[in-house]
Amino acid sequence: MDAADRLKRITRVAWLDATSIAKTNPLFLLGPFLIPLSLLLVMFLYTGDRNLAFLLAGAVVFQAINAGTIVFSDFSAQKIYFKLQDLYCASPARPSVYAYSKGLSRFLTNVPAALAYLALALYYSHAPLYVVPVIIVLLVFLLVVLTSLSFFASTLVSGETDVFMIGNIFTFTAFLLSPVYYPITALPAFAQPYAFLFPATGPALLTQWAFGLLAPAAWMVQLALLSMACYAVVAYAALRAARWREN
Amino acid sequence: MKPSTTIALSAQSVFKSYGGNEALHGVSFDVRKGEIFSLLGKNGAGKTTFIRIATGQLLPTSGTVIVSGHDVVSNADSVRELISLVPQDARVIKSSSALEFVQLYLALCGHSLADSRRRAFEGLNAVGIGSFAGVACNRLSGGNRHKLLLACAISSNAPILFLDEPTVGLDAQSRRELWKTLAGLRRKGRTIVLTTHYMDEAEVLSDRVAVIHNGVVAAIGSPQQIIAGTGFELRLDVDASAAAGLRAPKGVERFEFGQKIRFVGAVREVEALAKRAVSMHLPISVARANLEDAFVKLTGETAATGEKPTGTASEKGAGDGRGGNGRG
Repeated sequence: MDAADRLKRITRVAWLDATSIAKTNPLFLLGPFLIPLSLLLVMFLYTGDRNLAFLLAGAVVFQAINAGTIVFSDFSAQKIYFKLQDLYCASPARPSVYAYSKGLSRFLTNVPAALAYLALALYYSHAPLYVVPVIIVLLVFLLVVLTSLSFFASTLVSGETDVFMIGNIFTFTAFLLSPVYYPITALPAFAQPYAFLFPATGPALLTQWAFGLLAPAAWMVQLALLSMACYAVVAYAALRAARWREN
Repeated sequence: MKPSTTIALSAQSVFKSYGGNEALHGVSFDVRKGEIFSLLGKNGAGKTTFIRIATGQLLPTSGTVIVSGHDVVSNADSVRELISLVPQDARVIKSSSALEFVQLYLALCGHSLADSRRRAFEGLNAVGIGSFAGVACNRLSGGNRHKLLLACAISSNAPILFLDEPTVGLDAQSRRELWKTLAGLRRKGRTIVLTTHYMDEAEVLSDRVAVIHNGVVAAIGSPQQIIAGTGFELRLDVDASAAAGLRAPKGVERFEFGQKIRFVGAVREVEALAKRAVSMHLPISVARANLEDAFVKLTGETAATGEKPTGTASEKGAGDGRGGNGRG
């Protein structure tokens, strides 16, 4: 199967899955709006509109983080609760198609929220429209990395308590520890390089830069690119190492 | 390897160990094309392990499994194009509709949107739940949810279906409906390998069965051959409370189950025992020995004679319904 065929399959399955979710429970589409909104509200009450553009840019990046981490629960549920992984394992379904179609499906349900926050972020940051493709590439990159890690982790879990524990670690590292909703410069100087250990830091920094909210130092950009290159390799390795089937 | 025209699956000396525990200890048998072949065995006998190996999910420790001419280890991708599996304990995703559930499976397998939709409808109709296509999975009955999983397997058009305990948890009516569906698939030329704990199911459905015990094939053949291989012809059931004075003559096995004592053996001995029971004014019921009786003897379950039932396949010859290499 070539890459184009694989991509076609991923898109097809993701579309089917996402439309099924959206049809069955339209309220599901509200979640991606509400989670950043709650944070926005709290921050707005404390800091006024000073950090609004950062928060909105963070809400855009959050959509990829949310899809890429929540899919861990999906994979785990399919394996542990629904016991459907075996059905797919014993079929021509490829692990990459399975994993990325699920990740993309989750992202598709986040698209309305992503578009709304993107429009708001563009408005408040006064960024030109041509940054949009750059931001989309960064979001897709983050989605692919987190989906790969989620898939890998899901193939190792054996019980529901594992899912809860690892899910929390994912959310904590990908969403809270990474400077997504705030500039990296808000961190103490010694901690700033370490922030790039987390997968969302690089794409978040470049997104903030694309919106014109931050003028990062050269070393920050270099570290962001290096971190993303490393995570691209990690994502590939994670997909290969995932214990989809023994054979 | 050139695919055989008659053999759908061939297992040769399959061993599988988990750490120090040996789940399969040299399993060998063939499954013919177009037959329903049942794997029977106690919990933990190795049935599911075998299914997982044959469907390319687990690697055998040693031995080979060939599916339609393709080795499941070295040519797993080709095998997966030819098979479909309904796993044990699988549940349907509750939020999707029946049609979406099957369509999603087919799309994952590589079918286009239009093709997966058409095939999904065909699959649902084939298992008799076409009218529920738009119904959410959580509104389907337990029987229909099982059929939905079967619809996935069928709609892929895979010639070999593996069904791991497909009727567990179903009521008698739903089980019979599913049997009908499986018999229909067999008539259309599909090969079906299933595991089950229901002996009546295996007896009614299967062309041939293999009894796996302690990781080896203890017996293989048609249900009738398996029963004949144990020497069982007739059975006599007596209430346990009344059967104290009734002793099993030589050649008759005595099993306790629930509130009954069952004597199973050749016609002559069991008839003689029945006459004795009648003379003692004991309420009795007599029937032909069935696969369950043979299974209990072969696997040693609930045997009340104190004796361990006779040996495993490796000690017995094939062809009389007793184990061996399973080339029946």
